[in-house]
Amino acid sequence: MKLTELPLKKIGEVVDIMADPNKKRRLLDLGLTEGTEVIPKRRSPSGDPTAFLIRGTIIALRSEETDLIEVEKK
Amino acid sequence: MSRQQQSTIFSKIDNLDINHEQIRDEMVKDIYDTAEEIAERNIASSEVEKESWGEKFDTLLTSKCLGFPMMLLMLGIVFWVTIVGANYPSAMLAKFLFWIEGHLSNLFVALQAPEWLHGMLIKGVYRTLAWVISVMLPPMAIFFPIFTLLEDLGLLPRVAFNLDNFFKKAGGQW
Amino acid sequence: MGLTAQSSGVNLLRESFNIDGDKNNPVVALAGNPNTGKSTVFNGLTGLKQHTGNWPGKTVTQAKGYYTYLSQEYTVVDLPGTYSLLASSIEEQIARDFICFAQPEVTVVIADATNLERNLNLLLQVTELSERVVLCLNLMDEAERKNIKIDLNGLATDLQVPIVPTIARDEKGLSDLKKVIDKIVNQEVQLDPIKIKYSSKIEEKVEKIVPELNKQFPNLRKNINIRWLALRLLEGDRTIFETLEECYDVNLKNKKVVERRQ
Repeated sequence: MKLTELPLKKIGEVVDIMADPNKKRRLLDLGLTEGTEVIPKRRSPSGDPTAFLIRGTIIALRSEETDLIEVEKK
Repeated sequence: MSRQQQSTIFSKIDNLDINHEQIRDEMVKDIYDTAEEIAERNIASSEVEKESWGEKFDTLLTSKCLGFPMMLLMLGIVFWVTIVGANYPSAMLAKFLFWIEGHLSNLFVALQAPEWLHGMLIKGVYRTLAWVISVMLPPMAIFFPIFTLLEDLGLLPRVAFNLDNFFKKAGGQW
Repeated sequence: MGLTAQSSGVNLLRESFNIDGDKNNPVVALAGNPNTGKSTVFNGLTGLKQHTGNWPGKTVTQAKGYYTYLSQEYTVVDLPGTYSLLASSIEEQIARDFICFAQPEVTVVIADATNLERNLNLLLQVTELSERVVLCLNLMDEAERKNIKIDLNGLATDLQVPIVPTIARDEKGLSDLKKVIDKIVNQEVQLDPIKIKYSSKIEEKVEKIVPELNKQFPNLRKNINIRWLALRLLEGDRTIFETLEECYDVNLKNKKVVERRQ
Protein backbone atom coordinates (compact mmCIF):
# COMPACT_ATOMS: atom_id res chain seq x y z
CA MET A 1 0.00 0.00 0.00
CA LYS A 2 1.02 3.62 -0.30
CA LEU A 3 2.41 5.29 2.80
CA THR A 4 -0.40 7.80 2.43
CA GLU A 5 -2.91 5.06 3.13
CA LEU A 6 -1.21 3.73 6.26
CA PRO A 7 -3.46 4.56 9.23
CA LEU A 8 -2.13 6.65 12.12
CA LYS A 9 -0.13 4.79 14.80
CA LYS A 10 0.27 1.71 12.60
CA ILE A 11 3.74 0.45 11.72
CA GLY A 12 4.74 0.22 8.09
CA GLU A 13 7.90 -1.07 6.46
CA VAL A 14 9.30 0.65 3.39
CA VAL A 15 9.25 -1.64 0.36
CA ASP A 16 10.12 0.73 -2.46
CA ILE A 17 10.21 4.36 -3.49
CA MET A 18 8.82 5.07 -6.91
CA ALA A 19 10.08 8.57 -7.57
CA ASP A 20 12.39 10.23 -10.02
CA PRO A 21 16.07 9.93 -9.03
CA ASN A 22 16.37 13.30 -7.30
CA LYS A 23 13.24 12.94 -5.22
CA LYS A 24 14.09 9.37 -4.42
CA ARG A 25 17.48 10.42 -3.20
CA ARG A 26 16.05 13.08 -0.94
CA LEU A 27 13.69 10.58 0.60
CA LEU A 28 16.47 8.03 1.03
CA ASP A 29 18.59 10.67 2.73
CA LEU A 30 15.86 11.07 5.33
CA GLY A 31 16.47 7.42 6.18
CA LEU A 32 13.63 5.87 4.19
CA THR A 33 15.71 2.97 2.93
CA GLU A 34 14.19 -0.39 2.16
CA GLY A 35 13.02 -2.16 5.31
CA THR A 36 12.84 0.99 7.44
CA GLU A 37 9.98 1.19 9.93
CA VAL A 38 7.69 4.19 9.55
CA ILE A 39 4.90 5.19 11.90
CA PRO A 40 2.43 7.96 11.00
CA LYS A 41 2.15 9.93 14.23
CA ARG A 42 -0.26 12.77 13.54
CA ARG A 43 -1.94 14.50 10.69
CA SER A 44 -2.33 18.21 10.08
CA PRO A 45 -5.86 19.45 10.84
CA SER A 46 -6.07 20.54 7.22
CA GLY A 47 -5.42 16.93 6.27
CA ASP A 48 -2.19 17.17 4.40
CA PRO A 49 1.20 16.97 5.78
CA THR A 50 1.49 13.97 8.06
CA ALA A 51 4.19 13.64 10.70
CA PHE A 52 6.01 10.32 10.61
CA LEU A 53 8.38 8.74 13.08
CA ILE A 54 11.36 7.72 10.95
CA ARG A 55 14.44 6.33 12.66
CA GLY A 56 13.77 8.18 15.87
CA THR A 57 12.91 11.55 14.39
CA ILE A 58 9.56 13.07 13.56
CA ILE A 59 9.51 14.19 9.94
CA ALA A 60 6.52 15.74 8.18
CA LEU A 61 5.88 14.60 4.63
CA ARG A 62 3.28 15.81 2.15
CA SER A 63 0.95 13.41 0.42
CA GLU A 64 2.66 14.07 -2.90
CA GLU A 65 5.73 12.49 -1.34
CA THR A 66 4.07 9.70 0.60
CA ASP A 67 2.14 8.68 -2.53
CA LEU A 68 5.47 7.61 -3.98
CA ILE A 69 6.43 5.41 -1.04
CA GLU A 70 5.27 1.83 -1.07
CA VAL A 71 4.99 0.24 2.38
CA GLU A 72 3.91 -3.00 3.90
CA LYS A 73 1.73 -2.86 6.99
CA LYS A 74 3.16 -4.78 9.91
CA MET B 1 42.90 17.89 -14.91
CA SER B 2 42.50 17.94 -18.66
CA ARG B 3 39.40 16.97 -20.57
CA GLN B 4 41.26 14.00 -21.91
CA GLN B 5 42.14 12.67 -18.48
CA GLN B 6 38.58 13.14 -17.40
CA SER B 7 37.19 11.29 -20.35
CA THR B 8 39.65 8.45 -19.75
CA ILE B 9 38.17 8.11 -16.27
CA PHE B 10 34.63 8.38 -17.52
CA SER B 11 35.12 5.74 -20.18
CA LYS B 12 36.68 3.48 -17.57
CA ILE B 13 33.57 3.90 -15.46
CA ASP B 14 31.29 3.34 -18.42
CA ASN B 15 33.16 0.13 -19.14
CA LEU B 16 32.24 -1.16 -15.71
CA ASP B 17 28.68 -1.10 -16.98
CA ILE B 18 26.92 0.04 -13.85
CA ASN B 19 23.53 1.39 -12.98
CA HIS B 20 24.41 4.60 -11.14
CA GLU B 21 21.03 4.95 -9.58
CA GLN B 22 21.08 1.49 -8.16
CA ILE B 23 24.59 2.01 -6.79
CA ARG B 24 23.50 5.24 -5.19
CA ASP B 25 20.52 3.63 -3.49
CA GLU B 26 22.66 0.78 -2.25
CA MET B 27 25.23 3.19 -0.84
CA VAL B 28 22.63 5.08 1.17
CA LYS B 29 21.26 1.80 2.43
CA ASP B 30 24.72 0.55 3.40
CA ILE B 31 25.43 3.76 5.29
CA TYR B 32 22.15 3.59 7.19
CA ASP B 33 22.58 -0.12 7.89
CA THR B 34 26.06 0.45 9.31
CA ALA B 35 24.76 3.28 11.50
CA GLU B 36 21.89 1.11 12.68
CA GLU B 37 24.20 -1.76 13.51
CA ILE B 38 26.62 0.39 15.52
CA ALA B 39 23.80 2.12 17.32
CA GLU B 40 22.15 -1.16 18.27
CA ARG B 41 25.39 -2.57 19.59
CA ASN B 42 26.12 0.34 21.91
CA ILE B 43 22.79 1.67 23.06
CA ALA B 44 20.55 0.18 25.67
CA SER B 45 17.29 1.99 26.06
CA SER B 46 14.63 0.75 28.38
CA GLU B 47 12.04 2.26 26.16
CA VAL B 48 8.70 2.51 27.84
CA GLU B 49 6.43 3.66 25.06
CA LYS B 50 4.37 6.25 26.78
CA GLU B 51 3.31 9.57 25.46
CA SER B 52 5.50 12.23 26.92
CA TRP B 53 4.14 15.53 28.09
CA GLY B 54 5.44 17.18 24.96
CA GLU B 55 3.77 14.65 22.70
CA LYS B 56 0.42 15.16 24.37
CA PHE B 57 0.80 18.85 23.77
CA ASP B 58 1.66 18.22 20.13
CA THR B 59 -1.44 16.11 19.68
CA LEU B 60 -3.50 18.92 21.14
CA LEU B 61 -1.88 21.59 18.98
CA THR B 62 -2.38 19.66 15.78
CA SER B 63 -5.76 18.12 16.57
CA LYS B 64 -8.59 18.56 14.14
CA CYS B 65 -10.94 20.50 16.36
CA LEU B 66 -8.48 22.26 18.69
CA GLY B 67 -5.54 22.89 16.36
CA PHE B 68 -6.73 26.06 14.69
CA PRO B 69 -8.49 27.60 17.71
CA MET B 70 -5.36 27.05 19.82
CA MET B 71 -3.24 28.65 17.14
CA LEU B 72 -5.51 31.66 16.84
CA LEU B 73 -5.70 31.95 20.61
CA MET B 74 -1.93 31.89 20.84
CA LEU B 75 -1.54 34.52 18.16
CA GLY B 76 -4.32 36.55 19.81
CA ILE B 77 -2.55 36.47 23.16
CA VAL B 78 0.71 37.56 21.56
CA PHE B 79 -1.00 40.51 19.87
CA TRP B 80 -2.97 41.40 22.97
CA VAL B 81 0.14 41.40 25.14
CA THR B 82 1.95 43.44 22.50
CA ILE B 83 -0.73 46.06 22.00
CA VAL B 84 -2.02 46.40 25.55
CA GLY B 85 1.34 45.82 27.16
CA ALA B 86 3.04 48.40 24.97
CA ASN B 87 0.67 51.14 26.14
CA TYR B 88 2.35 51.56 29.51
CA PRO B 89 5.95 51.88 28.38
CA SER B 90 4.74 53.99 25.44
CA ALA B 91 3.05 56.43 27.80
CA MET B 92 6.09 56.56 30.04
CA LEU B 93 8.45 57.07 27.11
CA ALA B 94 6.24 59.81 25.66
CA LYS B 95 6.05 61.53 29.01
CA PHE B 96 9.80 61.34 29.45
CA LEU B 97 10.66 62.46 25.90
CA PHE B 98 8.23 65.38 25.98
CA TRP B 99 9.54 66.39 29.37
CA ILE B 100 12.91 66.64 27.65
CA GLU B 101 11.30 68.59 24.82
CA GLY B 102 10.05 71.17 27.30
CA HIS B 103 13.52 71.60 28.69
CA LEU B 104 15.04 71.81 25.23
CA SER B 105 12.53 74.52 24.33
CA ASN B 106 13.47 76.41 27.47
CA LEU B 107 17.09 76.10 26.49
CA PHE B 108 16.37 77.53 23.04
CA VAL B 109 14.49 80.42 24.61
CA ALA B 110 17.32 81.03 27.06
CA LEU B 111 19.81 81.10 24.20
CA GLN B 112 17.50 83.46 22.30
CA ALA B 113 17.52 81.15 19.31
CA PRO B 114 15.37 82.28 16.37
CA GLU B 115 11.85 80.86 16.22
CA TRP B 116 12.35 79.12 12.87
CA LEU B 117 15.31 77.15 14.26
CA HIS B 118 13.29 76.11 17.27
CA GLY B 119 10.42 75.14 14.99
CA MET B 120 12.60 73.07 12.75
CA LEU B 121 14.74 71.28 15.31
CA ILE B 122 12.39 70.86 18.27
CA LYS B 123 8.89 70.98 16.88
CA GLY B 124 9.97 69.22 13.70
CA VAL B 125 12.87 66.82 14.08
CA TYR B 126 12.78 66.13 17.79
CA ARG B 127 9.02 65.81 18.19
CA THR B 128 8.71 63.41 15.24
CA LEU B 129 11.55 61.32 16.57
CA ALA B 130 10.05 61.27 20.05
CA TRP B 131 6.67 60.14 18.74
CA VAL B 132 8.13 57.43 16.57
CA ILE B 133 10.27 56.09 19.38
CA SER B 134 7.54 56.13 22.00
CA VAL B 135 4.97 54.55 19.69
CA MET B 136 7.10 52.04 17.84
CA LEU B 137 9.79 50.92 20.23
CA PRO B 138 7.70 49.29 23.00
CA PRO B 139 5.61 47.06 20.69
CA MET B 140 8.75 45.92 18.91
CA ALA B 141 10.56 45.30 22.18
CA ILE B 142 7.65 43.13 23.28
CA PHE B 143 6.58 41.40 20.08
CA PHE B 144 9.93 40.19 18.79
CA PRO B 145 11.18 38.58 22.02
CA ILE B 146 7.84 36.77 22.39
CA PHE B 147 8.03 35.59 18.80
CA THR B 148 11.59 34.37 19.31
CA LEU B 149 10.41 32.51 22.38
CA LEU B 150 7.61 30.87 20.38
CA GLU B 151 10.11 29.81 17.77
CA ASP B 152 12.49 28.39 20.35
CA LEU B 153 9.63 26.50 21.97
CA GLY B 154 8.95 24.93 18.60
CA LEU B 155 5.48 26.38 18.28
CA LEU B 156 6.08 27.96 14.90
CA PRO B 157 6.96 24.66 13.19
CA ARG B 158 3.64 23.31 14.52
CA VAL B 159 1.86 26.28 13.04
CA ALA B 160 3.61 25.63 9.74
CA PHE B 161 2.53 22.00 9.97
CA ASN B 162 -1.08 23.05 10.44
CA LEU B 163 -1.05 25.66 7.71
CA ASP B 164 1.12 23.92 5.11
CA ASN B 165 -1.83 22.79 3.03
CA PHE B 166 -3.23 26.32 2.75
CA PHE B 167 0.09 27.79 1.82
CA LYS B 168 0.55 25.12 -0.79
CA LYS B 169 -2.86 25.89 -2.25
CA ALA B 170 -2.17 29.61 -2.19
CA GLY B 171 1.16 28.99 -3.91
CA GLY B 172 -0.44 26.67 -6.45
CA GLN B 173 -2.59 29.48 -7.82
CA TRP B 174 0.37 31.34 -9.16
CA MET C 1 54.60 21.03 7.86
CA GLY C 2 52.16 20.63 10.67
CA LEU C 3 48.42 20.69 10.54
CA THR C 4 48.20 24.40 11.23
CA ALA C 5 47.28 25.44 7.72
CA GLN C 6 50.71 26.54 6.71
CA SER C 7 50.28 25.61 3.08
CA SER C 8 49.04 28.69 1.33
CA GLY C 9 46.92 26.53 -0.99
CA VAL C 10 44.56 25.56 1.78
CA ASN C 11 44.46 29.11 3.06
CA LEU C 12 43.46 30.45 -0.33
CA LEU C 13 40.82 27.78 -0.65
CA ARG C 14 39.51 28.81 2.73
CA GLU C 15 39.36 32.41 1.59
CA SER C 16 37.02 31.29 -1.14
CA PHE C 17 34.73 29.98 1.61
CA ASN C 18 34.91 33.34 3.41
CA ILE C 19 37.18 31.96 6.10
CA ASP C 20 40.05 34.28 6.91
CA GLY C 21 43.07 32.34 5.79
CA ASP C 22 45.36 35.19 6.76
CA LYS C 23 44.71 34.51 10.42
CA ASN C 24 46.34 31.12 10.14
CA ASN C 25 44.09 29.76 12.86
CA PRO C 26 43.32 26.07 12.95
CA VAL C 27 39.78 25.70 11.61
CA VAL C 28 37.17 23.69 13.48
CA ALA C 29 34.04 22.82 11.50
CA LEU C 30 30.82 21.93 13.30
CA ALA C 31 28.63 19.48 11.43
CA GLY C 32 25.42 17.91 12.65
CA ASN C 33 21.79 17.10 12.06
CA PRO C 34 19.23 19.85 12.61
CA ASN C 35 18.00 20.14 16.22
CA THR C 36 21.01 18.60 17.90
CA GLY C 37 21.97 21.75 19.75
CA LYS C 38 24.68 22.53 17.23
CA SER C 39 24.26 26.26 17.59
CA THR C 40 24.28 25.92 21.37
CA VAL C 41 27.66 24.20 21.12
CA PHE C 42 28.79 26.92 18.71
CA ASN C 43 27.69 29.65 21.10
CA GLY C 44 29.21 27.81 24.03
CA LEU C 45 32.56 27.53 22.28
CA THR C 46 32.82 31.02 20.86
CA GLY C 47 30.81 33.15 23.25
CA LEU C 48 30.32 36.58 21.75
CA LYS C 49 33.16 36.37 19.26
CA GLN C 50 31.00 35.58 16.24
CA HIS C 51 30.36 36.80 12.75
CA THR C 52 27.40 35.91 10.63
CA GLY C 53 27.26 36.34 6.91
CA ASN C 54 26.46 34.24 3.91
CA TRP C 55 28.27 31.39 2.28
CA PRO C 56 29.86 32.85 -0.85
CA GLY C 57 27.31 32.98 -3.62
CA LYS C 58 24.63 31.23 -1.57
CA THR C 59 21.63 32.40 0.41
CA VAL C 60 22.59 30.15 3.30
CA THR C 61 23.72 31.79 6.53
CA GLN C 62 27.31 31.24 7.52
CA ALA C 63 28.30 31.62 11.14
CA LYS C 64 31.89 31.67 12.22
CA GLY C 65 33.43 32.42 15.57
CA TYR C 66 36.64 32.36 17.49
CA TYR C 67 37.91 30.99 20.77
CA THR C 68 41.28 30.73 22.41
CA TYR C 69 42.55 27.62 24.13
CA LEU C 70 46.04 27.38 25.61
CA SER C 71 46.89 30.70 23.89
CA GLN C 72 46.03 29.34 20.45
CA GLU C 73 43.17 31.01 18.63
CA TYR C 74 40.78 28.74 16.74
CA THR C 75 38.28 29.61 14.01
CA VAL C 76 34.99 27.76 14.41
CA VAL C 77 32.72 27.40 11.39
CA ASP C 78 29.10 26.36 11.91
CA LEU C 79 28.11 24.27 8.90
CA PRO C 80 24.45 24.11 7.87
CA GLY C 81 22.50 21.44 9.74
CA THR C 82 22.00 18.42 7.48
CA TYR C 83 21.00 14.78 7.73
CA SER C 84 23.57 13.70 5.18
CA LEU C 85 26.38 14.92 2.95
CA LEU C 86 25.10 13.44 -0.27
CA ALA C 87 24.76 16.91 -1.77
CA SER C 88 21.10 16.68 -2.65
CA SER C 89 20.43 20.16 -1.23
CA ILE C 90 22.42 23.38 -1.15
CA GLU C 91 23.02 23.00 2.57
CA GLU C 92 24.41 19.51 2.12
CA GLN C 93 26.57 20.68 -0.73
CA ILE C 94 28.02 23.50 1.35
CA ALA C 95 28.80 21.20 4.26
CA ARG C 96 30.34 18.62 1.95
CA ASP C 97 32.43 21.07 -0.05
CA PHE C 98 33.70 22.76 3.07
CA ILE C 99 34.89 19.55 4.69
CA CYS C 100 36.26 18.27 1.41
CA PHE C 101 38.02 21.34 0.06
CA ALA C 102 38.65 23.74 2.94
CA GLN C 103 39.96 20.79 4.92
CA PRO C 104 39.26 21.92 8.46
CA GLU C 105 41.87 20.80 11.00
CA VAL C 106 39.07 19.18 12.99
CA THR C 107 35.48 18.40 12.11
CA VAL C 108 33.23 18.03 15.13
CA VAL C 109 30.08 16.04 14.44
CA ILE C 110 27.47 17.08 16.93
CA ALA C 111 25.00 14.32 17.61
CA ASP C 112 21.78 14.09 19.56
CA ALA C 113 22.45 11.42 22.19
CA THR C 114 18.75 10.54 22.28
CA ASN C 115 18.74 9.62 18.61
CA LEU C 116 22.17 8.31 17.84
CA GLU C 117 21.38 6.11 14.87
CA ARG C 118 20.35 8.94 12.59
CA ASN C 119 23.27 11.03 13.71
CA LEU C 120 25.81 8.27 13.13
CA ASN C 121 24.71 8.25 9.53
CA LEU C 122 26.18 11.72 9.13
CA LEU C 123 29.31 10.84 11.08
CA LEU C 124 29.97 7.89 8.78
CA GLN C 125 29.79 10.21 5.80
CA VAL C 126 32.11 12.75 7.38
CA THR C 127 34.74 10.11 8.12
CA GLU C 128 34.76 9.29 4.42
CA LEU C 129 35.98 12.83 3.80
CA SER C 130 38.26 13.51 6.72
CA GLU C 131 40.26 11.59 9.28
CA ARG C 132 40.25 14.35 11.88
CA VAL C 133 36.77 13.83 13.28
CA VAL C 134 35.40 14.14 16.80
CA LEU C 135 31.97 12.94 17.88
CA CYS C 136 30.32 15.33 20.31
CA LEU C 137 27.39 13.61 22.02
CA ASN C 138 25.15 16.45 23.00
CA LEU C 139 21.91 16.44 24.99
CA MET C 140 23.29 13.80 27.36
CA ASP C 141 20.90 15.00 30.06
CA GLU C 142 17.91 14.29 27.87
CA ALA C 143 19.24 10.85 27.02
CA GLU C 144 19.51 10.14 30.72
CA ARG C 145 16.00 11.34 31.31
CA LYS C 146 14.75 9.05 28.57
CA ASN C 147 16.64 6.14 30.08
CA ILE C 148 18.92 5.74 27.10
CA LYS C 149 22.24 4.22 28.08
CA ILE C 150 25.13 4.64 25.69
CA ASP C 151 28.23 2.50 25.95
CA LEU C 152 30.77 5.25 25.25
CA ASN C 153 33.78 2.93 25.26
CA GLY C 154 32.12 0.48 22.93
CA LEU C 155 31.06 3.28 20.63
CA ALA C 156 34.57 4.73 20.60
CA THR C 157 35.97 1.31 19.72
CA ASP C 158 33.48 0.81 16.92
CA LEU C 159 33.92 4.26 15.42
CA GLN C 160 37.58 4.83 16.22
CA VAL C 161 36.97 8.53 16.87
CA PRO C 162 37.25 10.48 20.12
CA ILE C 163 33.86 10.91 21.78
CA VAL C 164 33.01 13.86 24.00
CA PRO C 165 29.71 13.78 25.90
CA THR C 166 28.32 17.28 26.44
CA ILE C 167 25.35 19.16 27.80
CA ALA C 168 25.96 22.33 25.82
CA ARG C 169 22.99 24.11 27.40
CA ASP C 170 24.78 23.96 30.76
CA GLU C 171 28.21 24.41 29.16
CA LYS C 172 29.13 20.94 30.39
CA GLY C 173 31.80 19.06 28.47
CA LEU C 174 32.83 21.98 26.28
CA SER C 175 36.27 22.28 27.86
CA ASP C 176 36.79 18.57 27.21
CA LEU C 177 35.85 19.22 23.62
CA LYS C 178 38.41 22.02 23.36
CA LYS C 179 41.03 19.76 24.88
CA VAL C 180 40.36 16.99 22.36
CA ILE C 181 40.43 19.47 19.48
CA ASP C 182 43.75 20.82 20.74
CA LYS C 183 45.21 17.31 20.87
CA ILE C 184 44.16 16.58 17.33
CA VAL C 185 45.49 19.88 15.99
CA ASN C 186 48.83 19.28 17.70
CA GLN C 187 48.90 15.74 16.35
CA GLU C 188 49.09 14.21 19.80
CA VAL C 189 46.54 11.63 18.72
CA GLN C 190 46.52 9.72 15.49
CA LEU C 191 43.08 9.08 14.12
CA ASP C 192 41.95 6.35 11.81
CA PRO C 193 38.18 6.46 11.99
CA ILE C 194 35.80 3.80 10.74
CA LYS C 195 35.12 3.70 7.01
CA ILE C 196 31.87 2.32 5.76
CA LYS C 197 32.29 -0.98 4.03
CA TYR C 198 29.89 -1.12 1.12
CA SER C 199 28.57 -4.26 -0.44
CA SER C 200 31.24 -6.27 -2.24
CA LYS C 201 29.67 -5.30 -5.53
CA ILE C 202 30.44 -1.63 -4.88
CA GLU C 203 33.80 -2.24 -3.24
CA GLU C 204 35.01 -4.22 -6.23
CA LYS C 205 34.24 -1.31 -8.51
CA VAL C 206 35.91 1.17 -6.19
CA GLU C 207 39.04 -0.93 -6.34
CA LYS C 208 39.00 -0.73 -10.10
CA ILE C 209 38.60 3.04 -10.25
CA VAL C 210 40.99 4.13 -7.51
CA PRO C 211 44.19 3.00 -9.29
CA GLU C 212 42.99 4.66 -12.46
CA LEU C 213 42.40 7.95 -10.65
CA ASN C 214 45.82 7.73 -9.03
CA LYS C 215 47.37 7.12 -12.40
CA GLN C 216 45.63 9.99 -14.16
CA PHE C 217 45.86 12.53 -11.35
CA PRO C 218 48.90 11.61 -9.26
CA ASN C 219 48.79 14.87 -7.30
CA LEU C 220 45.15 14.76 -6.36
CA ARG C 221 45.77 12.42 -3.44
CA LYS C 222 47.32 15.26 -1.48
CA ASN C 223 44.16 17.29 -1.71
CA ILE C 224 41.23 14.95 -1.49
CA ASN C 225 40.32 11.44 -0.53
CA ILE C 226 40.54 9.32 -3.67
CA ARG C 227 38.23 6.60 -2.38
CA TRP C 228 35.59 9.21 -1.78
CA LEU C 229 36.05 10.60 -5.28
CA ALA C 230 35.73 7.10 -6.74
CA LEU C 231 32.48 6.57 -4.83
CA ARG C 232 31.04 9.83 -6.16
CA LEU C 233 31.98 8.86 -9.71
CA LEU C 234 30.39 5.47 -9.20
CA GLU C 235 27.09 6.99 -8.23
CA GLY C 236 27.15 8.93 -11.45
CA ASP C 237 28.28 12.36 -10.28
CA ARG C 238 29.76 13.77 -13.48
CA THR C 239 30.05 17.29 -12.14
CA ILE C 240 32.53 16.37 -9.47
CA PHE C 241 35.51 17.22 -11.68
CA GLU C 242 33.99 20.59 -12.40
CA THR C 243 33.57 21.21 -8.69
CA LEU C 244 37.18 20.22 -8.18
CA GLU C 245 38.33 22.45 -11.00
CA GLU C 246 36.26 25.33 -9.72
CA CYS C 247 37.82 25.03 -6.31
CA TYR C 248 41.36 24.72 -7.57
CA ASP C 249 40.76 27.29 -10.25
CA VAL C 250 39.70 29.82 -7.64
CA ASN C 251 42.83 28.83 -5.85
CA LEU C 252 44.99 29.59 -8.87
CA LYS C 253 43.31 32.89 -9.59
CA ASN C 254 43.75 33.99 -6.00
CA LYS C 255 47.37 33.05 -6.17
CA LYS C 256 47.86 35.32 -9.15
CA VAL C 257 46.20 38.20 -7.39
CA VAL C 258 48.44 37.70 -4.40
CA GLU C 259 51.51 37.52 -6.59
CA ARG C 260 50.59 40.75 -8.33
CA ARG C 261 50.09 42.49 -5.03
CA GLN C 262 53.53 41.50 -3.81
